[in-house]
Amino acid sequence: MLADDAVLFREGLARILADAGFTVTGQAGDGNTLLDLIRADPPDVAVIDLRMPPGYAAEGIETAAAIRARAPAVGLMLLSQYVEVHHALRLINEFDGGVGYLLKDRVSDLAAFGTDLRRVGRGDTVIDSDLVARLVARRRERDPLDNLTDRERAVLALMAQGLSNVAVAADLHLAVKTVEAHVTAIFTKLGLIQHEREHRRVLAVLTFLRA
Amino acid sequence: MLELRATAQRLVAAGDATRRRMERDLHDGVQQRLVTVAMELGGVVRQATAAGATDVATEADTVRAHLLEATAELREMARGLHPAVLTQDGLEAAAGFLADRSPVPVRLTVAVERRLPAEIEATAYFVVSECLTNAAKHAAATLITVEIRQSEAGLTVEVADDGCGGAAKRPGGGLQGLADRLAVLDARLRIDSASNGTRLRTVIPCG
Ligand SMILES: Nc1ncnc2c1ncn2[C@@H]1O[C@H](COP(=O)(O)OP(=O)(O)OP(=O)(O)O)[C@@H](O)[C@H]1O
Ligand SMILES: [Mg+2]
Repeated sequence: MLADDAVLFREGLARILADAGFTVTGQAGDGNTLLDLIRADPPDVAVIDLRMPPGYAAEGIETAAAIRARAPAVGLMLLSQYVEVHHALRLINEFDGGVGYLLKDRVSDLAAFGTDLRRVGRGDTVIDSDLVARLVARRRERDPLDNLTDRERAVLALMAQGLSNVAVAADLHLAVKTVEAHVTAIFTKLGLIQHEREHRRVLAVLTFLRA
Repeated sequence: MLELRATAQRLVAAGDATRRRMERDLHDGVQQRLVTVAMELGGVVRQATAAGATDVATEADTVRAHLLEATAELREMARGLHPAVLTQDGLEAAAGFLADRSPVPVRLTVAVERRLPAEIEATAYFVVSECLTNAAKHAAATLITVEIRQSEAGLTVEVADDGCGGAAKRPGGGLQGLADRLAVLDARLRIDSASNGTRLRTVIPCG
């Protein structure tokens, strides 16, 4: 199900998702209409524009929260022209998985976007790579990231996007065991507590990168 | 005098409103169109791949990548015009964004309890933005501290670096622009710049 006030974008997205084998069960131009549609027929995932009428601020997050309260099984994919760290932290904090936050640009890579939609539908967390790259590149006074090897940095960035060890391994063409070793090394070097669930892990890493 | 100041205030407010509107128009107009076109191109890539036309698919995908680069540039321009994050989420979030982007490490403290009038928030934002840019460009600094604090006297904005000093207003420069903008809000830009660093400070009265 899709919600975006930009009609051309929304309809283009619906067409393209249908081509890619998704079933688009409904479209809405604002949050309240979307909520009504979802109540009538809950989809696997709702794709929601972050900035919608009436205020063009962060209405999408409010809509997402309302959906989560009424239909907790629906995955929530927020799209935006800008990705902001505080929104990402809020989404991870408040939603406990099954949530994604991506630049609108990402939908043009259909294969990757389709994968991300399915991950959100499964309950994973998906965070835009741009936002993570910005945080990793950020200059710090005494930078704990200096202690990481290039490989460990690459693993850290993918972890922060919500990828599981298996997914990180596939992305970097490494063995899962190797990735696990990297993850342990990263958490030790950064003094972070390891979490079993990816969602908790994303939160820990992003909070660390933000601090 | 009072009349002049009121006129100047109206001019600055009108300028801000125009920039905000232009950002909105870019966001809802051109930017939206460009991501839509990129998305459609993504569809072409998919069809070409499905039809076995790998050359066309690769070509179209390269065009898509170029288009997204242009979109990213436009996004940065719109942000320079007026950051949507400031209007939506306030000074702390917007200053955090600037600090994240700074090539010199920034220690940021924001103590602002409530949303302030748009022209005050925008002015504080532009002070921080210009001073961070200057410190990175001119100071050869290793650390910048930014403090934004709200008190009875008003909103204090202070940016200090540990660079080489030498900051001074010059006609048409960023600092002069800040000073002019601040004057309209009844505030002064204090510049202390010596060989151990530069400190810029202002207190914007806000009732
Ligand atoms: N933090 C600083 N450390 C050292 N020198 C500075 C600093 N800030 C400004 N200066 C000096 O003061 C001059 C004036 O700064 P100002 O911001 O007004 O202009 P500019 O940065 O040169 O140009 P513009 O702001 O229009 O891009 C600069 O050219 C630079 O020599
Ligand atoms: Mg300057």
